[in-house]
Formats: sequence, C-alpha cells, structure tokens
Amino acid sequence: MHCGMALLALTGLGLSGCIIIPTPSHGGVGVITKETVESFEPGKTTRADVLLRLGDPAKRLEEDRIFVYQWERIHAYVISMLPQTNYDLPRPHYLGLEFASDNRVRRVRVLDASFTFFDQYPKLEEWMAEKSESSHP
Amino acid sequence: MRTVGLNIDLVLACALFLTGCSTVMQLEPQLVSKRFPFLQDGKTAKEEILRRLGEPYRRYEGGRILTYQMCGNTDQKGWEGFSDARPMDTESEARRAADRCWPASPNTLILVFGPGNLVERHSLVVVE
Repeated sequence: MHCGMALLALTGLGLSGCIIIPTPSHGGVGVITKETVESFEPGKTTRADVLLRLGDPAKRLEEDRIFVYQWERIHAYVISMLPQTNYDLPRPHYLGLEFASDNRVRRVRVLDASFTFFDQYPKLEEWMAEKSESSHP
Repeated sequence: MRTVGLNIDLVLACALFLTGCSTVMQLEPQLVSKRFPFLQDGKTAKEEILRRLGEPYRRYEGGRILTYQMCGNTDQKGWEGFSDARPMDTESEARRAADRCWPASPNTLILVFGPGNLVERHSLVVVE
C-alpha cells in the first residue's frame, strides 16, 4: 500500500518535471547526535540527566513516563525544470525515552528517517505501546 | 544532457557542503555562571529562583526540576546576552517568547533541586 502510494507520488513528480535526489542525511536544526544518545544508559541515567543534557522534550507522555525529542535533517533535494523551484526535503527524526518509576531511563529508541514520504512517528508510537513486563509493577 | 547532469551534481555537492548543522549542546558551566551570577549549586534556593526568574516554563517530578526558555545570543557575555529573556508567567506569554526567538531556537535553563530546595545541578542547553 505504502509502496504503491510512494510509486504513484514519484511517478507524478517525474511527469511534472521534478526529480527527487536522495542524499545522506545532513544539515538540520537541534540535531541530537549519536554520541549523546549513546551516553544515556538504561538503569543509570535519570530524567534529570536527560533534561540537563537536552532541555525540554517536544512531547511529554503518560505523566512523563515517556519523553519524545524531535529534530529534522535533510534527506533529499527536489529538483525541478522550472527556475527557483528547487528545494530541500527535510524529514523528522525522533528520540524516544521511557523512564521507570525510579526516574531512571528504561528504554531508548531513535528513529532515523530513511528516505520515505511517510512520517516515522507511528513506529515510535508502536515502540511506546510495547511495555516491558516491569513497566508497571 | 551531460551538462544538466553535471549541474545537478554540482548543485548537490555544493548543497551538502554548504548546509550547516546545529546540534543541541550544553553551554560550558563557567559561561552559565557568567550569565546567571546568582546561580550556585548547593547555595541558591528555589524561592530566589522563582523571585528572580518568575514562573518556570515547565515543571518536572513535582517541581524538583524547573526549566526556563529564553531567547539569547550565546556569543555575548553576561546577563545582557539574554536581554530578550523574560520571565514567563503564562502559557501564552511563553508562546510569544518562543515566537520571538524565531528563526533561532530558544535556550533552555534547567534547574534540578536537591535537599532543602537548593539548586543541586543546573545547565543551559543551546542549539548551535
């Protein structure tokens, strides 16, 4: 279904004289680096540690059991035959953090946007719904 | 056709090279102290913070952690660097303050309180 829609969109863009050129992810504002994410250790890092490092999350869910941080990076360029209609194509990236009742990080998940027309947030929601056995003792 | 291909390659190469990337980072502790001289871990009380900075933007863990969002040029030294910073008493004012930062991202001051409601740890997160 998604592939079909993507193919349709690509065909439409191709017929309209536009081409999309995927690139390695680059640029962006408020990027959270891999090193920062890797510094968060489940069972050790606290909610305070995360806030001191990253500031306010974009979303606070389930009474702060889950934090979601979001940033965008450029993943492609749309190049048109028409003048002044070229632009970059940023895609959202997400960092999800789940905290245990002792305020320490339980799980960390990063969703790097691959070249896709579809937002990755639903995948993050699926991850949030996966409650480990000891989530709510 | 070859010329068009070459141009696209050139445009992409330039775009990749020229596109900047801003990351979320903590300001050096000594720079934070210069901007907030009244702020000292283990000494400054929550009451003083609330009196000086007003209502926080966000509260966490029952008020043990407070955050303040503010616009400011981190290249400038001293409190003057945050001349646009204003305590945010209401959500709508917070929204307006955030809008004033555009297109820059607001800086966030994070304060963690310990025993006796004294500042235990703090940091200033900037997007640079």
